[in-house]
Amino acid sequence: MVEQMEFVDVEGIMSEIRTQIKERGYTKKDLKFADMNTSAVLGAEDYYDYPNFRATLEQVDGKRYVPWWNPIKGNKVVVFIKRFIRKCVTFLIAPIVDAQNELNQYTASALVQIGAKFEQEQDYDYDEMQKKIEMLEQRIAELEKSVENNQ
Amino acid sequence: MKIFQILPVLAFGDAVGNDTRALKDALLDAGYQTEIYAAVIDERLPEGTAQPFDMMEKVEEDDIIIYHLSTGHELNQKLKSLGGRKIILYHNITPEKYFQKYNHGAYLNCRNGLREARELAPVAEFAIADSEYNKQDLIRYGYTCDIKVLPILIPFEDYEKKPNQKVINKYGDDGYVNILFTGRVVPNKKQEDIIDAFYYYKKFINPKSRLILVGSYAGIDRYHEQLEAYVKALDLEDVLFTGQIKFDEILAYYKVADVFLCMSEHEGFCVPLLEAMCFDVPVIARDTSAIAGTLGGSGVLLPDNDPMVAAEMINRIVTDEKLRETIIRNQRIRLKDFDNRVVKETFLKIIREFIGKRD
Repeated sequence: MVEQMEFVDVEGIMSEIRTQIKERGYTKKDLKFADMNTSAVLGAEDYYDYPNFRATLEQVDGKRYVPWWNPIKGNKVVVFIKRFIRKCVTFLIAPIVDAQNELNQYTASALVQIGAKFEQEQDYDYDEMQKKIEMLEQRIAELEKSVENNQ
Repeated sequence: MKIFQILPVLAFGDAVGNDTRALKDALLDAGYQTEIYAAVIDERLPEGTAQPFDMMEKVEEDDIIIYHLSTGHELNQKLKSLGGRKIILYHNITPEKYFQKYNHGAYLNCRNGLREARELAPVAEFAIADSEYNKQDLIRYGYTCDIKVLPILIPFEDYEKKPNQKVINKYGDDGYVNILFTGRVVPNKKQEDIIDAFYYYKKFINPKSRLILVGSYAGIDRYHEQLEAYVKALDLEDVLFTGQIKFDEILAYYKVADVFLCMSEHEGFCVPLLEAMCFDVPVIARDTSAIAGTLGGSGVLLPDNDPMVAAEMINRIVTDEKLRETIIRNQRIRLKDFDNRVVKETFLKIIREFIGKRD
């Protein structure tokens, strides 16, 4: 025998729910999901946006140096323990951070150069350059024709 | 005559991968010569599950190719030049608009996929869609061939495995109402609407409640970050993003769940609805895309994404024992329609009829 589903009066429940909502005294929240700025959240876009590119580049340039030594805060005991731990791991951490800083230095430098190149290219008047190319091509064609005629 | 299944990526444990492997088993059991070819094969799969597409053997005129279409990929183009009779098995491609703000690669992939799906229409001699919704998509894309609806094959036996005890100990029986959604953290699944509903439920109805969002956010991190920022800005506690987790942990979250809430705007089938049914978790879902078709009259459908209505519906199901039992009973009945034996038999019938058409 095929089992049949039992009827659930969703319409009726919905009607009761709507009454319940009025009685519950909900206050609508103002905040919306769309208000959350994704680029601010993550700081990474996968499409080109010039102002964002500039801002990101400045961040990369400003944060390329990672210090391995930081002041220790806390009470005397905590400071003592943390200093001891820091001394113990310095031989391990310091060379890694130095190597990372070297990489950061090169990476940031390369990115800043790319940024400068972008800006330089933005200054080009491509229409003007295209006109010049067309003019030169025309001139070459004319010269070739005159050479052929002279031969 | 051989039957080839071809797909861009054969992944371990995802819905399309499970379906492909189960169909291969069904074909082998029925005595057909069959093989899976994929451009990418997940290393976690047992050796011999599939062959690299580059090693694809020559396709004879009477061979059958079942092509799993679910994404934009170069194979969508290559398929056209392969011989044999072609069946398009459409699992749905998410509209690109959902990814525009979040992942340009995914945006292009979906856009290309949808274009390629249209281009494959003249190639298809027959088509299979996981849902009526997907069938209607194919018709809109210009498929004039015969299209049959065949639900995706779900490995229900896997759900009988032992759930993770640590998760159960941590979140089960602590007096909290656990609201669960499982699925990748992607914009079409509208996790923000789930958070909205949870906000009203927790703030106005039941502070002892928890929202568990199970699913990977790899590749779409920006959406996840935005969701996290939203939760923080709402000052909302007890929202758990698990990220990608082990299978036994997923099972455990279903075990501790009181309600499964799905606010997805676009789903081609939505396997998690069936998973929730399998664990006797009452389903509340927004009536969009393929959701109603998959629920098939079970669960509770919400007409829109009104978070207050969703919050009240959660409360109703959690507090009204009779309603809860009725929903679970209906879900158990619905689940029988997805019995693997039934689906496999239907699939083999479709294949037999397709072969018969040529004969």
